[in-house]
Amino acid sequence: MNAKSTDIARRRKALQLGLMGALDEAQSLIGLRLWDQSFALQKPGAIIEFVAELSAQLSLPPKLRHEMRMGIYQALLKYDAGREPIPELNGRAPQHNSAAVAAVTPTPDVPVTRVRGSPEYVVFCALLQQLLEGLRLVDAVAKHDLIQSLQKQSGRTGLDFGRHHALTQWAKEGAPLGAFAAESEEVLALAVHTLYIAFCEAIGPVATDQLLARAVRAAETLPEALRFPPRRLL
Amino acid sequence: MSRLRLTLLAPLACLPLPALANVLEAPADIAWTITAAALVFFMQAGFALLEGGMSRAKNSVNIIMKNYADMCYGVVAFWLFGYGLMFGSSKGWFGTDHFMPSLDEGPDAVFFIFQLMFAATAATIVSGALAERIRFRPYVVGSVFVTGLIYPVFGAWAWGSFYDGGGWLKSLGFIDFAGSTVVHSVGAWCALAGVLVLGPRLGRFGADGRPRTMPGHNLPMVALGGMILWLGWFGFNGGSTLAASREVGIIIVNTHLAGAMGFAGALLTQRLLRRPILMTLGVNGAIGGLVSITAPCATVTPGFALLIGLVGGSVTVLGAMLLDKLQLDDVVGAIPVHGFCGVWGTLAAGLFLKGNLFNLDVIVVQLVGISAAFIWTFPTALLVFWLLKRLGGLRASSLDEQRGLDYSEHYEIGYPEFQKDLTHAGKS
Repeated sequence: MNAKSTDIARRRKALQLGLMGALDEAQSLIGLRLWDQSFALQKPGAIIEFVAELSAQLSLPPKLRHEMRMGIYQALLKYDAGREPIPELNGRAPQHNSAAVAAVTPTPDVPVTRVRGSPEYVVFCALLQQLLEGLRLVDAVAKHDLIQSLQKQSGRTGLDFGRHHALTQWAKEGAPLGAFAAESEEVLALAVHTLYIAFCEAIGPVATDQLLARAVRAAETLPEALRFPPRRLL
Repeated sequence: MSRLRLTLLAPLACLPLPALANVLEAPADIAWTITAAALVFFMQAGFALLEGGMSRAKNSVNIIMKNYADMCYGVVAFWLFGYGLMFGSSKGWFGTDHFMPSLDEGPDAVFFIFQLMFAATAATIVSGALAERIRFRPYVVGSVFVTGLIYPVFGAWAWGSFYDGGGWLKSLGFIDFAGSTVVHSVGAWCALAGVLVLGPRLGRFGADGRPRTMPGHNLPMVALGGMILWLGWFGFNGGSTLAASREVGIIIVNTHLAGAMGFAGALLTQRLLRRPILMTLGVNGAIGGLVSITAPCATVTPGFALLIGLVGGSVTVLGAMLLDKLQLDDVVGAIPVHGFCGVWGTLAAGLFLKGNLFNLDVIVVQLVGISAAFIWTFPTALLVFWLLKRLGGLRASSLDEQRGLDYSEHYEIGYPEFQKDLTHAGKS
């Protein structure tokens, strides 16, 4: 990780602590997502704008808004500017709350289930999980077509038989994706592409692109996404 | 046959290509033809906007690049081979001189620039149909073949020669004043060949064969592109007189009426079929009306121009449905708009010929011309695209389709602020 991305990660963690001091977990997650999408790289200094936008999204009362702003500033001063060691967020990292998210975004997002492994693998699993859950929400009967398409593609996309079978079993029965745990970025990207083709055939390319975009956004909320941005799998 | 020739004298006098004396010598004629050439050139902007708007955002740069390439490489191909093949001295089939013309005598330069714009139009029709899945370089090679060989050879049959001799269709009395068949159908049949060789976009048709809608990314762009094309058509049809003459007025009136009724025809057809009234089909309907009137614009009355446009609009909608049924993926509807409406317009030029309505002899000649265009163009284009597929790969990979051709072919994307979620992070 280079110096710049370290700074970004530190600022994000400080911000997360600030948010969690004032908001519940689901609201904090929404805040983090907003930060990642619109502020982290584009305007990391625009805290007032961030607070205003998040408050509007969550319809926060003025008192809570004020507390959140103060909490963020204090955390940033202490851990980002002051460089004090950031405490671990053991078990406190906000988990995705679909109901809360659905209240502010129209996307059919679902909780990101965490797995253990390299950042690539964690992000990969989250991305695929989001895609499959999105498919269920968009078109409940399309899963059958997806599996058929995956079976049809075997040997066509460059993914070896074993990995392809694992991917198909995962789509079919929710089998673990352990076969990919130690795979390189290229193989993981190939698996995502294989799934993309199957999705296109099952629900069409427009819906697939939309689902993929949402899945990427959801995966970007993972801490691992700072080390391995999900877009590298596209 | 002599009776047949006699009946065809009137339309022959209206043909743009000039076995006529003193063509493009008067300053007013030169000024009008150059202005018309500029209007036809502006149609390239219309095509770019229309095609770009109808495709997905991740392919927008690719669309613009193809349109530019059609225009720019087309210039060279037409100057090198196309002009000589089409307008050089001919014994009926193709020209044999005036390749790489020096264009420094008489009206040659003005005539060349006007015809060059037509050639580029034929090529660019192909672009929209093949959008979102064709690789850029093989496309350019195909485009050069269209501009330098396929279009000029048929053009020589119908419009040649500018110097000595004449095309065999022209001598039969084939009426295609400004190119419903010569330009539009030829472009569309090339597009059809390309569509067949390429196959549909990923996921365009479901497993049961049902088509999936793939909406364009910018419909206002489509509408603006349609308007620009319409404006350009005044030069396309009006300029084909090659003279600032009194006929220009009625030609432009007929053109405008047909375009308007094309829009109405498309809407009416959608209504009758109890389908949603789509703006994109309305715009295509207007263009279908304009394509339809291109052949008969100088030889029919305004009343028939209205009818021709109305039917053209309907043909556009019905043609698009037919392509869906056949599982042919034509992104912008180029084949129904330019191909089917080109056929209809050319037939209508025979049916509604001013002062000689429903003359069977004339209609037969029109049908011969329509068929000849298909018989020459489609197999030749099919061969060209097939060879390109075999030699270097015509179709973009599915991964490139996922990422969008903007990145995979050009390393640029049209809308970097908005596309980041749908494209990868750039090639390393």
